[in-house]
Amino acid sequence: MSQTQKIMEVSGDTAIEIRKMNKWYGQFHVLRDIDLTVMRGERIVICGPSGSGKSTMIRCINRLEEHQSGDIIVDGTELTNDLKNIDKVRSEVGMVFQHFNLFPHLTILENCTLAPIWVRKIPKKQAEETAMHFLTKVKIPDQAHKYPGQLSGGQQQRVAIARSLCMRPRIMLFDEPTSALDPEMIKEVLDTMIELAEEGMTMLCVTHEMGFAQAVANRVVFMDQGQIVEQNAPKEFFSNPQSERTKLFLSQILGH
Amino acid sequence: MSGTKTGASGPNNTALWLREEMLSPLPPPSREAGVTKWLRQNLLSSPVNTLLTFAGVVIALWMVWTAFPWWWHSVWNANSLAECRAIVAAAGGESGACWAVIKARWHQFIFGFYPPAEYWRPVLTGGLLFAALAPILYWNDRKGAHMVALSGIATLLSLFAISAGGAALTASLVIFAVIWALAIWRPKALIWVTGLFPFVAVWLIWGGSFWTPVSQLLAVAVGALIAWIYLKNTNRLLNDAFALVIALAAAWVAAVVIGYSDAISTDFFGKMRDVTFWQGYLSGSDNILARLFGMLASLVAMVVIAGIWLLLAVMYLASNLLNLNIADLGALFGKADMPAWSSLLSLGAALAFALVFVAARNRATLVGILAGILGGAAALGYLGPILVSALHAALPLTIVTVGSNMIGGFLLALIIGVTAIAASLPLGIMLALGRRSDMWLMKVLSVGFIEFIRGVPLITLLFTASLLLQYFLPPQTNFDLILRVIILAALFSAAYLAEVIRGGLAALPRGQYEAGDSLGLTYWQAQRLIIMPQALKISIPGIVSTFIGLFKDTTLVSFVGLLDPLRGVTNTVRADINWKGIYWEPYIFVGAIFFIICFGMSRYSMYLERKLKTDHR
Amino acid sequence: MAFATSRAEASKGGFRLSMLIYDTRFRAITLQVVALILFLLFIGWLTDNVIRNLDAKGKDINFGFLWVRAGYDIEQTLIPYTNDDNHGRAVIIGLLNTLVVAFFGCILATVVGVIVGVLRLSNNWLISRLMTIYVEIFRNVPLLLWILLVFVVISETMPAPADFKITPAILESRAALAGLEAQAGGNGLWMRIATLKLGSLPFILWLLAFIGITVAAWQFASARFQGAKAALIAAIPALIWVIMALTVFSPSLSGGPAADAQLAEIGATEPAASKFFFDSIAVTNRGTNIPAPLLDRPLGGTEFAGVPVNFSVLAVIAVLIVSLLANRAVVKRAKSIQESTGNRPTTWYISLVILFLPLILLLLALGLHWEVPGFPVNDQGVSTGFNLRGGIQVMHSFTALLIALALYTSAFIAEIVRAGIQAIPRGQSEAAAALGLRPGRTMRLVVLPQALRVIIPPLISQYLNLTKNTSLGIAVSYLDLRGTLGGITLNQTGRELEAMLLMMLIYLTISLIISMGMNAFNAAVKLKER
Ligand SMILES: Nc1ncnc2c1ncn2[C@@H]1O[C@H](COP(=O)(O)OP(=O)(O)O)[C@@H](O)[C@H]1O
Ligand SMILES: [Mg+2]
Repeated sequence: MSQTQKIMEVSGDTAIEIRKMNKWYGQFHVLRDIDLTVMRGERIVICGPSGSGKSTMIRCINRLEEHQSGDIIVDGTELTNDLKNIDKVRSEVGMVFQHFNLFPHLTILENCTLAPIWVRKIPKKQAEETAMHFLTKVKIPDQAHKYPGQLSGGQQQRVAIARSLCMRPRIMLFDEPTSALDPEMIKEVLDTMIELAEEGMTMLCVTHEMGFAQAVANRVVFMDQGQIVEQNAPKEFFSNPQSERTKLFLSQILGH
Repeated sequence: MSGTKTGASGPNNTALWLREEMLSPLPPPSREAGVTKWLRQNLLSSPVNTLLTFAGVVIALWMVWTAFPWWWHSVWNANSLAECRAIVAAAGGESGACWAVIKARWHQFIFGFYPPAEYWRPVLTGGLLFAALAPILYWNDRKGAHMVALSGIATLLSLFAISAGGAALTASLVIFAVIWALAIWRPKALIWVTGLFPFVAVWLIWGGSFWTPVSQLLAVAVGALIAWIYLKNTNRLLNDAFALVIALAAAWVAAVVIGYSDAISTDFFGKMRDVTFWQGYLSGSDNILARLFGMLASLVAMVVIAGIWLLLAVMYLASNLLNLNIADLGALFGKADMPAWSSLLSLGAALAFALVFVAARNRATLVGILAGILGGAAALGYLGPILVSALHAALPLTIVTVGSNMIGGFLLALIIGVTAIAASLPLGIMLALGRRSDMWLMKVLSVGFIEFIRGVPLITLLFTASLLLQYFLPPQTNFDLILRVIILAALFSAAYLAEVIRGGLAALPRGQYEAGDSLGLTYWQAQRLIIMPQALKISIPGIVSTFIGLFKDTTLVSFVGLLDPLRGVTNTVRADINWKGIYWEPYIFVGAIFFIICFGMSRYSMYLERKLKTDHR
Repeated sequence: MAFATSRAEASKGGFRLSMLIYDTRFRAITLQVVALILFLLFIGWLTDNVIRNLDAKGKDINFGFLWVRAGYDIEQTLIPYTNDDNHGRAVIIGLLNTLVVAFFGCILATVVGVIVGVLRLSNNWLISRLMTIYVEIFRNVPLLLWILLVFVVISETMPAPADFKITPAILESRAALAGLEAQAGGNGLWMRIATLKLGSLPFILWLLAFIGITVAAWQFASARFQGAKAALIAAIPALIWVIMALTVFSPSLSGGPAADAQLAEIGATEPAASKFFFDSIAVTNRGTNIPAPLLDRPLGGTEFAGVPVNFSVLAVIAVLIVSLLANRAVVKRAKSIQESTGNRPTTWYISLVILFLPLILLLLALGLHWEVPGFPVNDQGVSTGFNLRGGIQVMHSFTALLIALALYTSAFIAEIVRAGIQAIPRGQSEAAAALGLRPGRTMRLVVLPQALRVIIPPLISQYLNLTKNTSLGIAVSYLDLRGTLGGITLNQTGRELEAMLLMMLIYLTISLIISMGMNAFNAAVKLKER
């Protein structure tokens, strides 16, 4: 896939639009004038030094954090204090966390059907079928009746992805999904994500896996000190970084 | 906007989007700053929160409004409640606190009926307690010296407050100066002060000859010396001699004990026939429940007795099987008239001798410790009185004796609390280890003890101390009620501590145990050096809250006739004709002191947790 | 000693005595055998001492005293008891008294504790501080102090029964007051408004509550509605509050100078003390008088093994059980509907009807009415007699013990609840939120099931503590197990050993039953985990 093809692939309408968004934790200005437009079907990788506000930004997109100025429009719905809008956005947007956050008191299957049953109001049987479908897709259908504690880290993260997919989201957010995993498990999770990308899911992914970025991303967004510093197609981004900060960051993560 | 959207147009700038200059942080928007924001976030963030806030304000205001006049019209100088009320009324108040009662009776709340001329003794003991605690509470910490200095100053001030004599003041000054100097120059040596403290404290509080604690200390020294010589000695011959003496002592003890248990069992079965143990209920009623209950009780009794008997019988059988019928040996212990028992005696004594001899030759630590304890006890029992009377004749250093019945108030609570706390920790650790032991019997005994103690209220145990102990000890044994209460309180909190520590032990990763084993440490070394420090660290909050519970429970001693600050002293005060009808003031006073001590302990445990956590990093 | 070694060696070959101590195979056994011998000897020594001591005192061990006439009265009894009954029955009465305090204490402590614990976690600064103060004060001061304080305060500050009397003078002044209000128009509303004492504490508190309710209502309404509609909705509770305050509460608010003068003119008096809660509960310095339930058409009863059995009570219990079962069926049906269609039918009102209607019908059929305590009155409405009659008198010792136990234990329960909820990582509720679950559902489906596992074991051990602490009732002469068996019975019969052993056995049994329940719970939730 060439650079232009990758960009052309995305359809015309916007999935997420963030305009001049600012956020403070107390006196600390954590996100500064964030402007970001994500097209439907686009895959975006966000990277940047630790503490630069990557997690905070994607958590703002499904309102796990509240922003204080600017607009966030997800799928045509603006995020305000209105509970209905928040519900709508959250059921459209799936999220995968660094530490999986599976519910330890529920089986894998129950983890996957909980939200469809209570939020989407889907009959249990149907929800279970969907769950099995996605569990099969992430290649762990045989673990459905086990508890999260009995699975390896990589398996747990794949369950977390399946759990999100069961809500049939149109957008997926990933917050460093592989950074809590051992090297041999990283691959199985990345493979799942690549598969998802190939099906055309809109994805925002915070990760430092450069191979993954090269393979699937349409765009790489580099953040530092709470602001977006540079955006570019992955090839350009890695081969020809423009800003000094980007260069420094890349030299650090590729250096070792 | 400081970024540029260049698309793919620029020839050398290929970025889709590049920020050219970084934004500097801005302060949050004004409506999100300062007091308004704080109010909005902390008090008015949602309708429920708003309601809660106002409900809180209403309650707080109501409480302050109703209580304030009472505090405001506090009276400090009066001789009776009626006088207080008159003063309040004269000042135009409806009600007022009458703290005069505290002013008049504070010494009883603190000391009970301790002779006022001797108040300096408990005060000095209290000060020394803090000095003795310093090296434990703040080890490896300059704060230890500060604590010594602070407790010295506090002691001197308190001595002034109770207008103690010049001799007491000078003595205290000198003592604290010495300890403080030690804390500054030889902080490690401060632990010796802690070691000396118990002896000094008992002497200071109960009084008597100064030579008593000295002789006790000497006995401890003798015991330690014996153990030390035995354990450090490398001379084979001396070692064997030692082992022989110890093993002979063990054989003698075994023979005496077996002889005694023989006496018990003969006596016992004779008694059991006469005792109306089961006949009692059967004749007492024709109620079916009574019969059942009686049968159950006798069954339990019989099982215990049968256990003892079985054991003796097995030993007896074994000695017969081995065909050892050396009646002469039995004669040595005055049992020649009973051939069967005498062979049992000889076997038991021989076995004890052999086992102890083997262990002693190998210089087992336990044997050393036991030898030390026995030696010390012998020194205390046989040499102590002689030494005391001799020294006393040479130099009579004596302070007035104060009986336990005169000790009361917070002094009593602290004596019981501190002693029981100190005693319960090692006991609790042993019980916790026993409960996790691989040995079935140790486990069963520990579990049984822990569950029994935790299953009954402390009050029943205290009543046991005051009513039942006389049944369980040999006739005519009688010892101090405070001591009995301390023992029961220590056992009580040891059972709770054992559970807390067991939790800490269970939380340790398996790897820690394996690491200990792989380093080649013995069980006790591993426990002492690796397991316990970590397990105790994890259990600190639980341990401290057990201590707090124990300290609060010292108030229950009033039910066995001791003069605790809460019921004992307060009731005495409230029974006084002058102060009849007063209740808030004494209870607030006593409650406040308990609060300060308990709250202080819980804050200290938080400090300790934080400190240990940072130590760990 | 050599013979023992040599024989052993000869018979077992290769065995040496030192192996008993230094061989890992035998070491544990040796130690245990030594410990067993020492333990049994210790028990034997104790038993021997007991026998010899009993001998010396000329006593035996005999539980026959349980069937001897007790001869003392117990003020609070759940089942019939007179001083002609035997000690055994007195013991059972004591045990029941213990269990009653423990039961209500646990319920009260749990309710208060959960509320305080949850509020302590709230992000409301003021409330969380107040709750922290509550917890610290109650758990750092001995329980005995709370028991004594509550007891002394209620028995020394409450009015004497005679203060509840209605005298002719009171009736006259009431009539005059009614006339005055009628004169002022309507029910005297305007007079009340006109005479509000603006600086008084009740008025200020009432005003604060009013502001709070208005602000909260406004926040609530403006989040959901716009403009005039929001304002209107926000005004409703405030309006209700004003009317309520003026009509119901304002007697305490009123009494401005003008009204004071008028009332003084009439010579208005009221009884020195009045009953609470719609004039039904009277707290005197002797005890708390509460209404007693009476039945017009009771079902009768019988006696079984000395215990009276009341068929009406049995019927109520039976109906309750059936209602609960029916309600469970309804919930189950709702669940299966949800599983098949995805939509959960609303069932709370059906549950409400099922749970309460049968009970209400039964009670109506039985003719339930309440006997309210009070002074008997003559036909003019003037009190006669010297004491409150009717209803149930709850002893102050019971009340004090209950309140003190509940408040003291609630502080510990609050900490347990707080720690339990805090033990659940934030990631759990974030993940639930990210899946679109609302906070209420997140709490119910994700946080609580996990928190309960952390909370319940220590909670049960608090129940155990509370039960054991009921023995402190001795401080206020509450006749529980300790007061009867370990108190009066023990002193009367002089059977210290038997009474104490029996008492410990009973406490131990209660404790063991409770901890068995806890172990069962632990085993059940543990199974789910792995
Ligand atoms: N709840 C919070 N309160 C205060 N500061 C926070 C909070 N969460 C994150 N921060 C701060 O915000 C900054 C950005 O955090 P984050 O978005 O997690 O960074 P990243 O994911 O890029 O490593 C960090 O400096 C962090 O310390
Ligand atoms: Mg992050």
